[in-house]
Amino acid sequence: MNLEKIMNIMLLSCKEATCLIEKKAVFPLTFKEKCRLYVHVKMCVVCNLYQQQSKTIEKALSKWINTEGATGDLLPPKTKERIIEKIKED
Amino acid sequence: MEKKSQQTSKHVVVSEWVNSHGDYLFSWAYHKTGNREVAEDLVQEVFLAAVKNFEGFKEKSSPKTWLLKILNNKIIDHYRKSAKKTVHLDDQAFQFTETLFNANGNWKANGLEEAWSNDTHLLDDPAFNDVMNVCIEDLPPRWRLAVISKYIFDKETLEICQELEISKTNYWQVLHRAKLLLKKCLEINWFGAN
Repeated sequence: MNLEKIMNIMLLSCKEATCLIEKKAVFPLTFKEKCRLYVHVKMCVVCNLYQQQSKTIEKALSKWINTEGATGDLLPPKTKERIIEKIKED
Repeated sequence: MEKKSQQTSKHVVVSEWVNSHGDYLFSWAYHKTGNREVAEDLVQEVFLAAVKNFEGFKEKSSPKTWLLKILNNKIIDHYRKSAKKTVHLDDQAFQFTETLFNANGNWKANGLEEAWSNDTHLLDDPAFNDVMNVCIEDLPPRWRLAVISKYIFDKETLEICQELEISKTNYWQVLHRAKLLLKKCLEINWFGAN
């Protein structure tokens, strides 16, 4: 096996590596995937940082979901009346 | 006669809930949909569903929790409907995320790689969360549905895939692209701007 072939097997592109980082968050990686990701992240500073950024984004998403929105956003009284009317009709 | 009074009482109870929980549900729905009319419609649907399924309400859980659960289902339905209408946006967004990488699939440097790590209290900053809100709204609806389902119900991944009618492989690929788009959006509107 020549060197290029070995490199291709061992080395992921950043696009593939970041995809595996996201896969890892939801599904178990295969042994081969784990090895390749490990090697890539050890060598690639940007993907190493991406790993942390991805976690930050996760936290921000979770926070977004659990935010109820501004307190000033009220259901207009007219809509309340309309809904209560509809409930009566039901 | 008894049946009739039971019916009346459930109408009365749910009507009271409109006054006591309507604002909370509305602000929740408005925050998740970014559209007042849609949010009002969803809240109305929630209360009508609450009358219809009143027997499913257990006094043990609080009405607010129960109503919120119904609302979250309605929100997901709403996302699902818009996701079906906007499949073309997936392609555009996919092409855009491709531009983050060079021809070999490696990152194009943008000078903002380190900026993320410098801010440790990022998530406590309301201004950052406002930018996050904009970036989530910018996602193509199908991608938004995929990332949000994960947090809104706290469900197992396989269950989410079944609900979204996508394969496992497709699911993490969508998550990947959505994350890339969010990252780029935050870099343009937050890290690059500050």
